[in-house]
Amino acid sequence: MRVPGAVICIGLSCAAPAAAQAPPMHRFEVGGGVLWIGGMTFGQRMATAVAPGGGTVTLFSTDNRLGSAAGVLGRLAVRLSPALQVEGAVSYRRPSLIAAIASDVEGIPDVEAIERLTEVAFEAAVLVRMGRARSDARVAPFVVAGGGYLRQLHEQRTFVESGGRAYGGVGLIRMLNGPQTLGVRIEGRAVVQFGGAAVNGGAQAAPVAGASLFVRF
Amino acid sequence: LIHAGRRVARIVGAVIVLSMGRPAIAYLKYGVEIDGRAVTVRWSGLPVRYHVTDRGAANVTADQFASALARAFSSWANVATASIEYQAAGFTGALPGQDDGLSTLGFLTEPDMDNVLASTSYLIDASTGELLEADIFFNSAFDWSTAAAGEPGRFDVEAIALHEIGHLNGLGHSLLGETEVTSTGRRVTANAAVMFPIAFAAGDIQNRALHADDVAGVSDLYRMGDFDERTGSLSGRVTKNGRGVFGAHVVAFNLATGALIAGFTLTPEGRFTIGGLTPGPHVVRVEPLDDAEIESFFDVDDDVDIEFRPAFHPRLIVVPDGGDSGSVPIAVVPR
Repeated sequence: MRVPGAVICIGLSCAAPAAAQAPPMHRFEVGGGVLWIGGMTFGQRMATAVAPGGGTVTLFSTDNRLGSAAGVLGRLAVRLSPALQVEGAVSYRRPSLIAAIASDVEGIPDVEAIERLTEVAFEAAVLVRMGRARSDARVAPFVVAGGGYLRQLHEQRTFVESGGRAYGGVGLIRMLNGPQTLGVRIEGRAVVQFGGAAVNGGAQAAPVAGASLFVRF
Repeated sequence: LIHAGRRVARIVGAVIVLSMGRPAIAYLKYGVEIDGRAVTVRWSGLPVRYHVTDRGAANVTADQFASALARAFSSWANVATASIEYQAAGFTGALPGQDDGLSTLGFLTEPDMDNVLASTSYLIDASTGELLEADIFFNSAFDWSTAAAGEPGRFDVEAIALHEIGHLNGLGHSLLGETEVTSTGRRVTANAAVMFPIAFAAGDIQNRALHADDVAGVSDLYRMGDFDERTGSLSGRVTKNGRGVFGAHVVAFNLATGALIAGFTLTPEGRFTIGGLTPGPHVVRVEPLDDAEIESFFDVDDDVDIEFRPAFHPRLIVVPDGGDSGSVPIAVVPR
């Protein structure tokens, strides 16, 4: 009858030292990397005139879009638990606003009129590690969701527009060293962007890809 | 002054000659030259009081005429960004065209002016550019109508009055329109400004509403509130083989609003400025003045260049709030 008690006792005595050896959870994370946001279409806008008797005549048409562009980002995160962290990020990139002009009433050849924007986005997000991944796992999948505020400065730097974006995505974190202080993060997102240089005033969706290095402390 | 569709001949010079100078800036606005500087012609005392001649024309009574004029005046007065106001001072026995201190609108029979539907003439203080009197005559040699839906074969008083009241405000012609040349003259196929100089055919009532170009023009002349802060301008220089192009028509198309607002290059260096634009990115298109008679816009001795190909500027040009785009260089190529 004493044997089971000894087993239990041994088991407990073994468990306690094991817990004490787990690495401490680093609460803060600072990172930086690159991101790429796909193009967004703003639809057509026609230059029209009134026709005799009613109706309109198209003088020329424009098909408008924001081109895809890569950029850089910086991120600061706070880990609330091994599975949950909140983060803020700032990104910078220079996409092109493009108007593809066609169907000119006087036969001007089709042409693209372009300008370059300077875009800065301030974002906040919640990241959740997936499944049974532990804080000390070297590889961990995650889901992330967030939103942000957008400033887009037009080419001549005399006019700025504001907008917003919301996104959700998945990714993978891989720790690169034993102390679990250096890691790499790759992710893919779907973003919905509204306002800003969207000349149709609507919301547009686009894919996003990102890769970054981070340090925990 | 507005021409009947299909028939265009030499423009009657009343408006341009009496304005005594070159338009100072786009849409066009009229101007006079005082001490070597261009001064915009405009009313300084508002509201503008106008009288209506107490006689109608065939098919249009004086009361119907006055009511149609009142609707046209209201369209201009209702432009939210312009301070122009009008006051109907009642009927008068006076006729338009008399220098009597009264701004008078009425019918006159001018069968010799067989391509002129209506015309505006001014009395201007040549020392200040202030408009003192503006008369509008409607040529009763044509058939007229004030019917709500228009009448086939009859020109719409309200639509033609809307154009002429634009002149009364101090606006010149706009080239935002397309025409085609037929065996009988030039026919309008579309317009994007009430101030286009050639009217739609008799019976058409499409020109009872102002367009963005008209609104920008009158707002630029009679600025109200924070108009200057909420709008901007687009300026630049059109050149051909390195030399300035005079009289080129420059169109700014707002990608967000779809508004078309235009002006002309008005210096030998080919410089232009288009004001009253909603801030944002614009497509810029340049074309020669070939959709109407040059004399509808410029003096006959002006050296207007129409020998170049229309073109789009390859950059989107951003108009800022309360500022200017910065000079945009536009090179065109000879035909």
